[in-house]
Amino acid sequence: MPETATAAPPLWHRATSPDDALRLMAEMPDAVIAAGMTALQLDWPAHLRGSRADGPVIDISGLAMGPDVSVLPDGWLRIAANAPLERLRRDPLTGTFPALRTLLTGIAASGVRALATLGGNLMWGAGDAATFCSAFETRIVTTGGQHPYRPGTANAGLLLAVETRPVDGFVEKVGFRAGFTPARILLAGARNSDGLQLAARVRGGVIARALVNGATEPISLGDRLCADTGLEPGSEDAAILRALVAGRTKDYFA
Amino acid sequence: MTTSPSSELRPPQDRRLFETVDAKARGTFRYLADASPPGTLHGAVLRSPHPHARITHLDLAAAREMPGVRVVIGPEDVPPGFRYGLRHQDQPPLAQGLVRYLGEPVAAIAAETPELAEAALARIEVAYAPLPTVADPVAALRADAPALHPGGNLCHNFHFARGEAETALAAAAHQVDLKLETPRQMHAALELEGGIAHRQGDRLHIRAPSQDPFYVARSIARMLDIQPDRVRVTGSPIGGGFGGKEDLHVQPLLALLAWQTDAPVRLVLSRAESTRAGFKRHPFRIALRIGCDAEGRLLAMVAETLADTGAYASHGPEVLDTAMETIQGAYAFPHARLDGRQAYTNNGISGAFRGFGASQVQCALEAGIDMLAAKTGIDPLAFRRLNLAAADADGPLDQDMVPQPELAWIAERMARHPAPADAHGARYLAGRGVALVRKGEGFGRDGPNGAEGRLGLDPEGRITLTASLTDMGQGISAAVRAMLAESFAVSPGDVAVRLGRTDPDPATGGPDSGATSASRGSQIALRLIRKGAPEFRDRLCRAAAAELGCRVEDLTLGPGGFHRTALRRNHPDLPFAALTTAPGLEVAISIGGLQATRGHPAAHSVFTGCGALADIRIDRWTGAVRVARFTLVPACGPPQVPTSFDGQMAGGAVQALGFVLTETLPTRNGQFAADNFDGYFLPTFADAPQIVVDPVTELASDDPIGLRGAGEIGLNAAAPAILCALHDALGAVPPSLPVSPAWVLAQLHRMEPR
Repeated sequence: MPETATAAPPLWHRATSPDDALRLMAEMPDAVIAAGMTALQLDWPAHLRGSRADGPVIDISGLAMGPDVSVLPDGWLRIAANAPLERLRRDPLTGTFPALRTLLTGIAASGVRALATLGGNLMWGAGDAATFCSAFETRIVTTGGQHPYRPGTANAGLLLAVETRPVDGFVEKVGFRAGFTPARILLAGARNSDGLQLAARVRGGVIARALVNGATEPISLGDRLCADTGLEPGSEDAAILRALVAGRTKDYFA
Repeated sequence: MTTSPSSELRPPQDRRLFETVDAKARGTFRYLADASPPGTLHGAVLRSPHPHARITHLDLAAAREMPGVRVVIGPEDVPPGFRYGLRHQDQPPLAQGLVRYLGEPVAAIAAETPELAEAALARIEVAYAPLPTVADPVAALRADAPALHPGGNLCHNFHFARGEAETALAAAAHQVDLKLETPRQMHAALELEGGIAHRQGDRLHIRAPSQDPFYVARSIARMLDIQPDRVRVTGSPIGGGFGGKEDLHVQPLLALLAWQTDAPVRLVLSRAESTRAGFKRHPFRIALRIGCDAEGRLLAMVAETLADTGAYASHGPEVLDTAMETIQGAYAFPHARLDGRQAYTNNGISGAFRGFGASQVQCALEAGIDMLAAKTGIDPLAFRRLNLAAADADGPLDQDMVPQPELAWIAERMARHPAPADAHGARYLAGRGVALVRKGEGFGRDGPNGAEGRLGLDPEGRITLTASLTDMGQGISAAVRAMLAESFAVSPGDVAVRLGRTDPDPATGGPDSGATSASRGSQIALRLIRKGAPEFRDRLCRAAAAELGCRVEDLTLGPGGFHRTALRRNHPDLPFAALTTAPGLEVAISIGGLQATRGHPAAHSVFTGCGALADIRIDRWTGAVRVARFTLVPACGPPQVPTSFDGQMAGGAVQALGFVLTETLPTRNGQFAADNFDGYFLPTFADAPQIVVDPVTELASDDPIGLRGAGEIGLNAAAPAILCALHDALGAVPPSLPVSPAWVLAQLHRMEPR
C-alpha cells in the first residue's frame, strides 16, 4: 500500500471475497474500488505529503480471481482482473498473443505495471486497454455474469476477469517518448474472418472503430477515423493517425 | 543502453570509489534535507497564482496567531533593497509588492508540523491586481511593453564583429539562412530544491544542495547583514544539479525563517513548486546566416539570437555570453557579426543548465554546416575538417587561448566509425549525423576563475583534499580520490575528500574553490592537488622522518604510509595515521585563473572539444524519431575514473536527446503547460540508445592543465548530431525543437509523395 494512502481519514476496507466486496459496495455506494490504485491516485486530492483518497476505499487487490492467465476451452485467454500488469506481461501464455503482449509492454512504466491491473485499466476508461478490447473480441466476466465488452458500459457487480480471443493483429501506441507515456494515439487492429477490425483513440478521447475489408475505400479510411475520433483534419495528431493507418493497412489492401 | 569503453584499455577501478552508488540506486542515500534534527520546524511558501500582478493586500496576522505556527515572514522581513543574483542582483527572496512570475514567493511559514504549515498558508489574506503578462520575448523588447524591471526588459545584450560579415556573405558561393527555436528544458533532478537551516546564537548553518556554497554564504550574510563567516553552508552532496542548484533556491527563505527562531527549519519544495519556481534552460530564437566559397571554405557568419530569461536574470547574462562565444563552433570564420539579446518576461525563471548557451546555438550552427556541406557536395565530416579552427588560432572572440590541437584529432577519430549497415525495412528511414563542437571551460575573462583548497590528513590519517567543490553525482569525489592516490602514489584507501562546505573557522576563511559549474570542477581539483602536493609531501616526510629518526630523503610515500626507500618492504614503516596529531602539516593552496588576456570580456581561455555521431531511425508511419546509437568522441585528456567519465557522456547524451526530441515546457500567458513529469516527457531508459564513448585521451604535450571537464561536452555534441542526422535523412532542418512528428511526416510526404 503506498505510504501516501495510509494517512487518516480515508476508510480502507480490504474485501475478503467477491461476496464481501459486493456487500461493502452495497453499504458504501460512493466507495471507490481499488486494486493497483495507480490511476486512482491521480484524481485524489493533493496534500503536502502526497495525494490521499477523500472517501472510503474498497481494496480488492487480495481477492482470489483465478489464475493470472488461463486458456479457456474455446481457445480464448482468461485474465484475472486484479492480476498486476507486469505479471501478465511475463506470463508465457500472453506470449502466445503478440498483440496482447505489445499492449502490456507499452501500457505503463515498469513501476506502474507492478501495481496496476488490466481490470483497473479497463474500468478507468482512459487507459490503453479499452482501445485494445474494442478491436479484439473481448468478454467481461463479473459477479453478475458474462457479456461482450462495450466501451463506456457500466458493469453489473464486480469485475472478475477479462476474456479475449487471440488472433493476428497489432497494437500501435504513439506516445511522447519510447518509455512510459500517455497514449497520444493508440491504434489496434484484429484480423477476423470478416476483415481487419480497427479501433483508434486519440489522447483518451472517443474510441473510433472501422472494419477494413474488400469493400473499404483505402484513401478515406484514415480521414474517417480522424473524423470519428474528433480530430481536426489539419492537426498534428490527424497527420500521425492518417500515416499510421495508411502504413498498417497497406499490406492488407495489397 | 550500454556504454562501451574506448578502444583503449581502461585501468581497473577501486570499488571504494563508488561506495555511494549502491545506496543511491537503492534510494537509501541520505541527502542534506533528509535528516531532520528533533524539533525541526516545517517550512511552507505562499506563492503567487499570477504571472504578473501587483499585491494589493497582504495580511499575515491570522496565520501568525495559529498555535504551532512559529514564524511567518512577509515582504517587510526582507532587508530593504536586498536582491540576489550573479551579475544582475535583481531577485528578492519574497515579492516586494509586485510578482513577476507564477509561483513567486509572497510569504513563508515555519510551523511545528507540515499540516499546520499548510493550514497557516490558507489563513494568509492576500489580494492581487493582475497586470498584463509579458509572455513573448520579442514583444517584451518593444517600446510599448510593460517594463518588468526599472531598467526595462532588456536583461543583457552582446555584440561582436570581426571583418565585414555582410560583404563576405554577399560574395559567398553558397549561403545558408537558418532559423531555429529551442525549448525550455527542465533539470528534473530527483532531489528537489530544499534544505535545513539552524540558527545558533549569531551563527547560521544552512544544509542545502548548492553548486557554490561560498556564493550562498556571502549572499545570505549580505541579506542578514552579518559577517560571511557567521554563515556556514553545507552544499554537498547534491542529488542532481545540472545547473539547477547553481543559483540560490530555498536558501534565502530558509535563512529568513531560521533567523527568527532557535529551532531548525526544514523547507523542501514539492515537485509542482519546483516546476513552477525552479530554473529552466533558456529558450532561444536563433537566426543564422553562414556562407562559404565554391571549395567549401567558410567565409562569414551573421548571427542574431534572442533568449527568454524569464522574470529574473539569474545566470542569464552568462548564458547569453556563452551562446555568442560558442556560436562559431569549432570552425574558423574569417568574418563574423554576432548580436544577442536577452529579454525579461513573466515566463518563470531561466538560469544555468548543463551546457548552457552552447547547446542551443550549436544545434543551429551544426545543422547549418550540414546544409552548406550539402550545397557544396562535400561530405559533412570532410567539410568540418576543412574548416576547423587551427590548433594555435585565436579563440572565437579573438582572445588568446590554450592551443587546441585535439579538434583535428577528434575529427580523425570520428572518421574511424563507419555508419552501421543496419537493415531498417520499408517502415523506417535511417540517418547519420555528425557534429563537432567546443565550449569554454570555467568562466570568461571576468572570472572568477581562481580557487582555494587545502591538503591535510584527516583524523583517520588519510590524505585529504578539502575544497568547496560539490559532488552532484558527476563523480568528482571519485575523480579527486583517483588524483590524490596517483599524485601521492598511495592506495585508494589512503585518500579522502572533504567537499562542498564553507569553512567554519574564521581564521582561515576558506577554502573557497568557486562554483562547481561550467565543467571546471575536475580541472580545479587537479590543479589544486598538483600545486599543493610537493609542499605537503615534504611536510609529511619531515614529520615522518622525525618520528622514525631517519633522514627525509630516505623516505618515500607509498601504500599505507611511509616506506624507507632502501628497505623495500611491503608494508609501511610508519602509517599515515601516526601523524594525525602532528602540527603544521596542512597546506593551504591558492591557484589563479587560466584567463584570456585579450578579446571580449566574456571570452574563455580553455576550451573542450567533442565529436558526436548520431545514428537515427525515422518511423515513416508515425513521424517518430529514435536515436539508435550515439558515438561520442570527447577530448578531455585521460579520464580520471573511466566509468564516471563514460557516465557523464552517456547522461549528457540522453539529456541532449530529450532537448531535441521529447522535452519542452511551453508557457501560455505565463503558465507552464505541466506541473509534473506526467506532462513533461523526460527520456527514459527505453529511449536511451546504445552509447559508445571513444575518447581522445591526448592533449597538447605542453597543455597547462592536462585534462578537461567532462560534465557538459557530451550533451553539447550529441544534441546537434541528432539534428544533423535528421538533415541527412530528410534533407531539411526543423524550425523548432523538440522535433515535431508532424514536421517529420511533412518532410517524408515532400520526399515520398503518395
